[in-house]
Order: sequence, then C-alpha cells, then structure tokens
Amino acid sequence: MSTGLCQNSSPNFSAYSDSSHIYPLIHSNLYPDTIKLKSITVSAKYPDVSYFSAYRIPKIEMEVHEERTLGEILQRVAPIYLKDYGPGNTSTITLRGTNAAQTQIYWNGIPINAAGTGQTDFSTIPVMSEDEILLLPGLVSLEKGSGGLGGSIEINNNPSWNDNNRYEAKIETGSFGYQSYGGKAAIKHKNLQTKFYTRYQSADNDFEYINNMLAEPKKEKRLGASNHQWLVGEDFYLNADSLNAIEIHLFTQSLNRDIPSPISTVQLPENEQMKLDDARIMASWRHQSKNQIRLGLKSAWTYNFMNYQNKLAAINSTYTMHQGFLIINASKYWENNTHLESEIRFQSQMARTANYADNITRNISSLWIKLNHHLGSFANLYAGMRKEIAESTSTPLLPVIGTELFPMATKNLAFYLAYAKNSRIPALNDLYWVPGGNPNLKPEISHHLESGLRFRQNLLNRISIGLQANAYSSRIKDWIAWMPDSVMISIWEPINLKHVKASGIEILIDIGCTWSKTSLNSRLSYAFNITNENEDDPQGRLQLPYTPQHIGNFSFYLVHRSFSFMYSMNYTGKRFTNYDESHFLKPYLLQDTGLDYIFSIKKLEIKLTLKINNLFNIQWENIAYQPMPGRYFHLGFTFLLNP
Amino acid sequence: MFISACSNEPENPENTSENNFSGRRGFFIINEGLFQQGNASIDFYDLDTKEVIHDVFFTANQRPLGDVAQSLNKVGNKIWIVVNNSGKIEIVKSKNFESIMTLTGFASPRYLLFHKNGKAYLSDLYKESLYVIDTLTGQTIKEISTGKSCEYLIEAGSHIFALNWSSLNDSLNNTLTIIDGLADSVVKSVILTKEPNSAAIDKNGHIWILCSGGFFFEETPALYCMNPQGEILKKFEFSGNQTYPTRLCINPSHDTLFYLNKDVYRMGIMENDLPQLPFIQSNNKNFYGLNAGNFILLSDPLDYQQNGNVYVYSRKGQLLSTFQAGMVPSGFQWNE
Repeated sequence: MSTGLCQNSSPNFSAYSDSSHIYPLIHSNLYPDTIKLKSITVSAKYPDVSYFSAYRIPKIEMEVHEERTLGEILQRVAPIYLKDYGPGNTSTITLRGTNAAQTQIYWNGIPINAAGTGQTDFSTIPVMSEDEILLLPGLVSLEKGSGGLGGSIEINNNPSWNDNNRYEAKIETGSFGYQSYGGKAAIKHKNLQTKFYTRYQSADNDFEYINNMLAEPKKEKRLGASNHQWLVGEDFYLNADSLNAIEIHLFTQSLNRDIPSPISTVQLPENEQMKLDDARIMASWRHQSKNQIRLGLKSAWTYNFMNYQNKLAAINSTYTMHQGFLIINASKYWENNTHLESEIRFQSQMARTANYADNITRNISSLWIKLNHHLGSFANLYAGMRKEIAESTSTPLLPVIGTELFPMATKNLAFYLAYAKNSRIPALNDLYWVPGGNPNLKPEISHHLESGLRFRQNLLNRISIGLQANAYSSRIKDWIAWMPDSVMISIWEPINLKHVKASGIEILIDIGCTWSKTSLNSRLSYAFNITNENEDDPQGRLQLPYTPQHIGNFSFYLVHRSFSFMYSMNYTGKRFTNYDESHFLKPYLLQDTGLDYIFSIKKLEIKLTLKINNLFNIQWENIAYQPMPGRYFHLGFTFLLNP
Repeated sequence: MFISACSNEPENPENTSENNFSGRRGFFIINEGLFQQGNASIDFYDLDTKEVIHDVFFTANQRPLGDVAQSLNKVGNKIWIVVNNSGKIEIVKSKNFESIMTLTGFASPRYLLFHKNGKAYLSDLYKESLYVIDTLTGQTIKEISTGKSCEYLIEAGSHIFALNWSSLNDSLNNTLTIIDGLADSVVKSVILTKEPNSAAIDKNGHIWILCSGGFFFEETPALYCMNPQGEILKKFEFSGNQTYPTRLCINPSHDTLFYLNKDVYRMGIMENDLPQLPFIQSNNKNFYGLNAGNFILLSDPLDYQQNGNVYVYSRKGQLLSTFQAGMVPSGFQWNE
C-alpha cells in the first residue's frame, strides 16, 4: 500500500470500503512464501485517510485468532476494556471511559447496535480474516454517524480482486468442550466475485475456578455456561464497468446460550437461557464519473430477535426488531486537492415486544457534509457537520473540525488537532420500557478535543516502524443513567443525570521486519484513561466503575519457513466496581502463545495450529463474581485449496 | 492455579482486628447490595462513640457476605442473615460475627420468623410454601404449602401471618395467609389489597398490615388493622396518585406506627385517619429503610451505585447524625 501523500490522487477516499475495489488494499497473510512475507511488513496499519486516531486491526491478528469474537480480538490489540461475562456469554466494551451504548458498530456502513439497549454484545459478532476492522476512537466516529461518544468500530467486507479462487475448511477442538467447524469459498469470474463463509461453534465452558465466596474456598466447575452458534454469510461484488460497482452482503446467525449466575448467587444451572437470531442484507451501488464525482446508493435491512428465559422467575421475554436503511452519498474531488462529501441517511426502526406498551416505530434521518482541503503537501484542513433528526428527540448540529500537519511533506509523519461535538439519542428501552421508560429524555451531548501524531517509516523495504500517539479530552453531559423512581423505589427509570469527563492518552507502536524466509511482527499498545463525573463527586476525582486507568497489550509473531510462533500479553489494570471506589477487582496479566505448521500436498495446503491461552493459569475476573477460565488449549486443522 | 485475583475486594478494609459488639449500644445496618454484584454487607453503628464499623462479616470471616442481604434477626447470641440471591442463611456469633454455620439449598429466601418452640419459619420468593427450620441444627424440618409466594412474616398469638406480596407465577398477591403455629398448617387466607409488604403488632395485640397497591398502581394503597383471628377491624385508604407506602413499623411502646411514602409518616394506633403531613420530609433523599426504635433510623441508597447514607433522628424527628453505610442500606437491627 502506498503511504506517500503524493502517490494517491485522492488519499481521503481510499479507506472507505465503498472505494476499496478501486484502490484495493493489499493484506498480509501467514503463508511461508517470500513474496507473501514481504507483504506483511509493508502493509499499512493505519487507514490511509484523515481519520486522525483511527486504528486498523492487524490482518495477522484476525487470521491467527479467527475463531474468537470481535470483542476478544479488540481486547488483544486495541486500547479498549472488554466487560466479559465469561466464555460464550455477553461482552461489551468500554472505549475511552464511555459506556457500552456509547460505542457504535457499523457493518458495511450500517449501524448494528441493538436498538433496544443501544449496546452491542461483542460476543455475537464473529470475525472473518477477510474482514476489515477499523477502530475509530473519539471524534472520528462522527464520520459514519452520531452516537459514538466513545468512538465506533467498522466491520467492512471487501473484495480481493488480486486473489485467486480459494476454498477453505477449518476444524478446531479445544478445552471445555470447544468445537468449531467452518468453511469458506472465494470465487472470481471476470468482474464478478463472491465470497461465502459459514461456521458452527459450540462449547460447554465447564472450566474449573476457585470459589472464594465459600467459608472454605475450593475448586468448582462452571455449570450452565454452554453455548452454540452457527452463521452463514455471502458477499457479491460486481464491477459492472470501470465506473460502476455493485455489492450485496448477506449475513445470518443464530446463537443459543445458557447464562451462568455470578458465583455470589445461588447456582441454578440452565435456569437462564438466551436465544439470539440476527439477519442482515445490504445492497449498494457506486458510480464514479470521469469528472471526479462519486455517487453511492446503499439500502439495507436488519433483523434481530432475542428471547430470554428465566425458568424460576417465570420470565419468557421476546424482542423483535426490524430496521431499514437508505443511504445516499455523493462526493466531488477537485484538482486543487479539495474534497467535498455529503450523505443523507434514512433509518426506520420497528420494535415488537411485550415490554413496551405499544409496537414502536421510530424514524431517524441524518445529513452529513464534509469538506477536506490539502494546503500543498504540508497540511490538511478538515471540517464536517452532521444533523440528525429523530422522532420526538431534538438533536443539535454536530460539527467536527480539525487539521493535520505533515512536516516532512509525506504521510510518514503527521500531527493532528481536532474538535467535535457528538450526541447520542436515547435507545428505545430508555424511552419506552414498561415500567420506567422516560419519553422525555434528552440526547447525550459530548464535546471532544483530541491531538496526536502518526509516524511510519519503511527501511530498506524490509523493516516497518509505526507509532501512533493520541491525547484526548471529552465532556459528556446529560449522560443517561437508570435511577430508582422517587416515589416507587423498586421501579427504575432513566434520567439525564450525569456529566462525565474523560481524558487520556493512547500509544500504539508496531514493528515488522523480513529477512530471507523469516518475518517478525510485533506491536505494543498502552492506554491511560481518567473518567469521572463532573459533579456530585465530593470526594474528588473518582474513576467510574469498570473503567481501568491502565490497559496494555503486546503481541509478537514470528514466521520462519513453514512455522509460525505467536505470543501475546494483555494487562488490564485495577477496576473499581462501584462509584465510590470502595470495591475493586485486581489487575491481571494474561499471556497466550501458539504455534502453526503449514505443509502442502499438491494444491492442498494444510495448517496445524496449537494455541495455549492463559499460559500461566491465572485466576481472573472481568466482572465481579464471573469467573474466567484458567489455562486452556485449542487445536486446529485448516485445509486450503488453491486450484 | 495461580490465585492473582479475588472477587470484588474492599478498597480500604478498615477493620482487620476482631470486633466485639457485646454490650455495645448501637445497631447493625443491613446493606442489601446490588442484585448480582455480590456486594452485600453488614455495618455497625455505635451510638456512644459515633463509630461506624463497616463490613463486619467480611472482617470476621475474610469472605464477602453474598448477593442481596434481605433481612437480619438477632436471636440470643446468634445473628441470622438471610442472603436472598445467594440462596443462603449465614448464622454468626452476635458478639463478633464469626461464622457458625451456612444454611444453603434455598432458591430465594426473604424473611425469617422465630417461633417459641425451637423452630423458625422462612419465606422464599420462588416457593409457594414456607420452610420450617430447626433453630438448633439448622435443618429444614418441613415445608408448609401456602399455594402462594410469601414475603414478610409476623406472629400474633399462636398464628403466623404470612404476607403474599409477590405476583410471580401469576400468584395472587393481595392476600394474607394465616398459619397455625402449633399444627404448622394453613388456617385461612384473607383478601386485602395488592402487595401487602410489611406488618406490625400494636400494644393491643392488633396486627397492622400495609399494602402498596401494586407494581403498576393497580389498586389504592391501604393500611389494615386486624385482630389475631384475621378479621379486619379497620381499613385506611391512601389518597393521591401514585403513592406507594412501604416499611410499616412500630415504636417500642407499640402505640405509634411509622411508614415510608417518599417521606416518613407517623400515626397513632387510635387515630381515625391517615396522617396528611409527613413526620420527616425526605427533601430529595430516597428513603429506603426505616426503623422506629428509640431513635428513628432511615437509609438512603443515593443512586444505588455507591455507598448509601444512614440518618439517625430523635423520636421528635430531629436529625441527630448522618453517616455513610455500605451499598444500598435497607434495614436495621438494634444490638439489644
């Protein structure tokens, strides 16, 4: 991938999935091939775009840990905190000190947060190594939509026109009854490409842990924590001609899980169960005219079904959500390095549940305009504005403004400074849940200020060094929190209660090098965050619960001929579990390792994988009283056919 | 397995040495904690020294109490703590909270009532029966089928009054089940108003029962006065929209009732109307727990996300002291 500013006539376009078939991204992989190894070292780690602090999840990470969920992969490489209720169970993320509803997730440009809670359960989002995953912390999330007060995450399916047809089957087994079966096919014919993928996973998750709630702490086995999930997806890409492209993406999955109780409560295995069904379809058309105008039309439908059962409490609750989207965008690039982009989005939500008084339909529309102008090769000015109109909720204009400076007149070194205002409209449960829903809620409003630097240098076409450092400060007012009703304390209702301020720094370093038939990739990330309430904080600056001040990751990949070795560690600092810092969970350091061996039989490539997770058998918890597994193993076989 | 993490440790455990509550004038505070967060605790407040001793169970036993402390009974030199969502009863020494025994096997235990002849009745949210427990061995002797989930229990004469508060499993939640405490059998059921939540006995032996009217304000809340045979003597209906009275209790001379209805209200047992004016105004506090002993004790869980406050008032309603308790303080037990 080019990293030089002058080598791409419209650098600000190229990170969009919409345009990536025109400027295809070259991704790395792990095959023991000198040419392929080279591609590992030179592949860019950051989107080639004015995304300020954006961070692309490394391809190698997704290839090695493809069986893991999006949350688990992000936790390994990105400055986020994963609130994980245990293997196969609910997990949400904390990004820059914000809550789970304040991170927006986009699938091919379509927001997929649960409309009811506003949150995303990251354990339900699978990762395919072909995906492109971008983490957009802070103000840059406004590019795709509002609501990402902490930031947003993009999952994009992209074509790979340079690859040959390939077929892949994968079998994995592991500790605690883990099994996974998957298959993929990528077929290309002239200007048409299709990618198919499917996967089935199940696990008993019956690991041992030490129950220190007992008078005599002892080992116990986790019960009632099993889960199984299957998914199917298909992507179609058609380059109708040099100026028109069509994409269709289909995805469906079904997930069943037992919900284990915290160990502080009475253990009732299989008492609580959840079933989740998701389906989504998206079709898009893009047109690029010869006079540097681009037009895009995107339409999507998403479906979510959730059933929760608690046998003892006689709860059988269902929630059905249909959402429709229509997105129209247009952009123009001028020869004087000015880029104007606009987008109109219509979204319709239809919720059906007995937990609301009526069937709910909510329409949301939004308008986005962005202007980007390069001042020679040394500076880039950026300004945007979003306006969102949601039924019965008034939202303000949301501006973003920033500048990037390139002192070396290339993109190898960039400094940036930016400001944005963002807002999040209340989720449907906040407005309509019975009892407690509050239709008078205001949207949460945030102000962000952010600055940082990016540095990337390739040496001798063999060594790549990257550094990204960000500092941010944000203020969020009218933070929505559920509180007991003033009359009837047993009923809780959401109110615009808190004013929260968050600030911190993030540092990301990656180094890659290649020599002969060996390549090495390593990356280090560290995040420091202080998040506390502006008011009602008589004791001073108290860190919000489940918001660690320190998070660090390190990973190391060594590929030599047919062997590859992986090592990674994740440090998560102390987390308070309530607002007055009276209780906390201890920090933990997790270390994983793994080994791959690849060999070929004619056109069939076979990869054997062994992974050891939680190498030092640490007892740790992400959520109080939700035990996590000690050391465990995964053994995998991958069969790849390149006819 | 390396043990590098322990669930939800207190940040600053104040008391590492053994406590001794024998002969101390004060009260225990039940800090309910948050559902599924395992942060229930018991505090002690010394009226003479004004000292607050936090988390006395953890200090004595070096383990958390559990998930949602529902109620606490002091019987002789033992204290029985019902830990609702942990499905257990912790029995500790009243002098220092050292664990004696843990009774398990319950689904969602709520309230205990100690009977004269060595047995205790236990209500359980998820059971349509009452457990009968041998107080010496801790063994469950039998279950009395009530046909409805039971909540608060009170004894009047030889009868046990079990309030049917929960509508779980479509159970009727507007009744009172009367049980013969000698035969351990149901005598009869009396229809009241939805959600009978608390009860008290006055100096005349009359039973007062407070009904909040239902989770969705389906019925008008009411206060009943009954005789030990279960006959309704008086009924007082609350006026105004969306009132939700709870926590009925009585003073030590058993002649004045107190309850919460956002504010604190006081009513003599001979009065013919409900009080119109509050005895203690909440002034934006979320009063949650109430006890009317020699002092009026009130708790405020604030936003339920941090340690709550306890307020000590004189019998005339004058605020005497305020201090911080644990997570969601909800009840009190005098150290008598």
